Amino acid sequence: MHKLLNDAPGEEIFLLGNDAIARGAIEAGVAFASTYPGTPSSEISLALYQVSQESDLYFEYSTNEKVALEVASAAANCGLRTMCMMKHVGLNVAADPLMTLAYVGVTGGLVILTADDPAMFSSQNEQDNRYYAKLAGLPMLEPSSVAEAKEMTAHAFELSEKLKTPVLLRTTTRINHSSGVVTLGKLPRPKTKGAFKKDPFNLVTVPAVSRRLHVSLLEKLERALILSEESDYNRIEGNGPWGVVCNGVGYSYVADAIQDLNISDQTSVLRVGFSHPLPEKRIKAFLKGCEKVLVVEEGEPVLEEGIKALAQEAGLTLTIRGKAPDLFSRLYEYDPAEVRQHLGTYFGVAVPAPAKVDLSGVPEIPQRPPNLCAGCSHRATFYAVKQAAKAVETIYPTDIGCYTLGLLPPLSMADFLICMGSSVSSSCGFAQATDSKVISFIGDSTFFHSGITGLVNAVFNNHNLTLVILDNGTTAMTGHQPNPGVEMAAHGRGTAHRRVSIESVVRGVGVEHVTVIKPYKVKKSIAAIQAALDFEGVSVIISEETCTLYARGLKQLKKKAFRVSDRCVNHRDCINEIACPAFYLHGERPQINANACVGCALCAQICPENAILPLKSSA
Amino acid sequence: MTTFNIYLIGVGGQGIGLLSEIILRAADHSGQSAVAVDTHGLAQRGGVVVSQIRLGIAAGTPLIPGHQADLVVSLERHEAMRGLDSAARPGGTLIYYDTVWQPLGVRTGEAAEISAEDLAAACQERQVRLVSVHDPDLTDARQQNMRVLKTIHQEGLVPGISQADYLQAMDDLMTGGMLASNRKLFLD
Repeated sequence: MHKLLNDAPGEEIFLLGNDAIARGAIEAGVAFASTYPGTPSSEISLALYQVSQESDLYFEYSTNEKVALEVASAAANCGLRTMCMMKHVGLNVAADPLMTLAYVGVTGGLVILTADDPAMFSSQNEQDNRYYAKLAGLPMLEPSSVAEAKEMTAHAFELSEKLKTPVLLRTTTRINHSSGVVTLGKLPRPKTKGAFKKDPFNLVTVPAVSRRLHVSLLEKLERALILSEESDYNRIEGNGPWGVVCNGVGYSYVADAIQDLNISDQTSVLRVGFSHPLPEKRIKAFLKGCEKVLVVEEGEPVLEEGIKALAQEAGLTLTIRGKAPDLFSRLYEYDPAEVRQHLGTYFGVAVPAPAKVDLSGVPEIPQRPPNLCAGCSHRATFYAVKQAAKAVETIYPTDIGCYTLGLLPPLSMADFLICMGSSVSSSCGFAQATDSKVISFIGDSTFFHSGITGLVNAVFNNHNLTLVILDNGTTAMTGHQPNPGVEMAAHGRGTAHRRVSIESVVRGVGVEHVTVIKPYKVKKSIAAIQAALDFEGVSVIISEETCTLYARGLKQLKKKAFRVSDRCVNHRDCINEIACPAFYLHGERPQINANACVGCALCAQICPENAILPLKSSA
Repeated sequence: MTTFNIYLIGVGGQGIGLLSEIILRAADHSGQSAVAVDTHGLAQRGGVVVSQIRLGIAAGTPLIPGHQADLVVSLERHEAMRGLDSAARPGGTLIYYDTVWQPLGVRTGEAAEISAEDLAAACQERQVRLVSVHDPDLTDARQQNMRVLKTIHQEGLVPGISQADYLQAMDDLMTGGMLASNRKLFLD
């Protein structure tokens, strides 16, 4: 039995934040879930996928976040409790349905989870999705701990049904990836079959309908405001004159700082957990009891601006500060020590000096950026493209996935990236605006997510470009989730799915020059890529090789490690050209770590001396 | 209850996540409250991976304030130095498995490799106790994390956790041959 189906109410167990959120949904009777994976939200989906294998929960990996939310919107309008998970930038993709679904509303509870990533541990930006609640006019909840994440998720379903509107649940990486103790609640028997009641003049958003629906959205927000005023998630602790307003993970940093600085008698804390709409009356009452207020929130000054506006309305002139050069930054995540320091400075309390650390006399520590795994087929593809395009001026738009790591030297195979799918579409622009040969890279999952429309655009407008689709048979970077190109049955994931062939899609949209390569066959790959580059118009290379990490997980990998023989004369192409992490220098000589080598033989094929041989060979 | 902060650092793929979860669960089995946070996502691809555990905290933040780690645990020499540099408190302890995964800069000759002597000198300078682990009999590099756990237990580096607690945590998180070989390593 899956640990999240443990039906022992009252039991305390350790859970990852993302598992706690999944458990919260299960305790609320979630019947339907859809997602596109993205760090830091991915483990919620993994948990619900696993649970769906053992229960009546329907779960799907959708092709992208927009699709996921549209799928979810139908389920929720058939009365099912539905959850839709994505990372913060995923909500941009889903923003189109989000904005109008807010008008239409739901009948079954719909919780949309947005996992923000301050400091960009694994993201291309650190946008603050609290603005989406304002923009769409939807209620938002923000937990401060793992235990609260579970509680709030369950509560979000009730709130959604009460208001008949989707609810945004916003987390940040440090909630998603923290572990803590949660107390298990009861497991209900959810309603799993929905019914759709036709009501086109409330559900089909033509202008005349939407004009009315916008009115009802504002009425729902009024009702949400009353619930926010009453909510225990917006709570005040302490009654001192120094006010601190905070949300999310910042709350625990504030609590620790107040304890460390021994100022609990002087402070009062307003923790905002039901953050849209802001509890106006409660905030005004809080401000009236304060001499000055500090707002502690990672990201943008959302609370700060809201609170300042409310102070103005209430005719209050106390000092309210948050984001400022001498206080908190809009950049990155906060450190507990930094919060303590600013609290002390702002309220004029001595901050205990941090433990002194002498940084002198320590040699510089070499950086260790992430890199492509030993034997990663992307490395072989990048190498082949580089060789094939040696003689021409190139631009390499790339996309989002492990292969983004091709950015780093010595591969250096990435020139432009803004978002999922941008490789193909931006290539169209580069091809038109310059005389360079444009060669872009996209992974299989990203191709399905948002690469296809760009490719159709390239064909229709007849741009001169080469697209390399890196098909490693899985969504590798976020933890090996399936995508429509995966043969699910072959991976032991049941027979409920049908595979979509990338090659058929590419040919189907009208690409005339399509070649499938096996990237570990270096010479053949280079020749095929050269032919694609010579083609005038849209050409596509599909580079097929299973992700080594995934193959290892499936026990499909037959490792045949290589070694560096005495023929080596230290050209070091193996290190300086492809930088496979299985290589290390022993003294001055390259050597292969046999534990790391998977036997892809890329290095053996590029070594000018043919010095790299299978481990079990005699030469 | 006093707080005890553990900062774990290694190279993505070395098994820091599992080691961290075993210590966290062992702490739970020992009756201590604890919170933790890990690295997931892109950094796992051969980058620096960090986990943080705070014992004696039930609901606060798992992030260890700057240089307040009582124990730094590393599975690689460069990362041990990085952990010392970013987290260790004077008077604390650093335990690491003495193996090297050369960063790219070292392999391309642009950066110097950190030696065991460099690390020892840096620890001495910062008044951090250094425990170096290296087991020539260990043939499977994937077990280096459990080998370090063994020494953590033998030296009593995490307060309040018994052998039974560690074994229980290992039972919770591993199965089959992996559990058997790691139990054997831990108990031998």
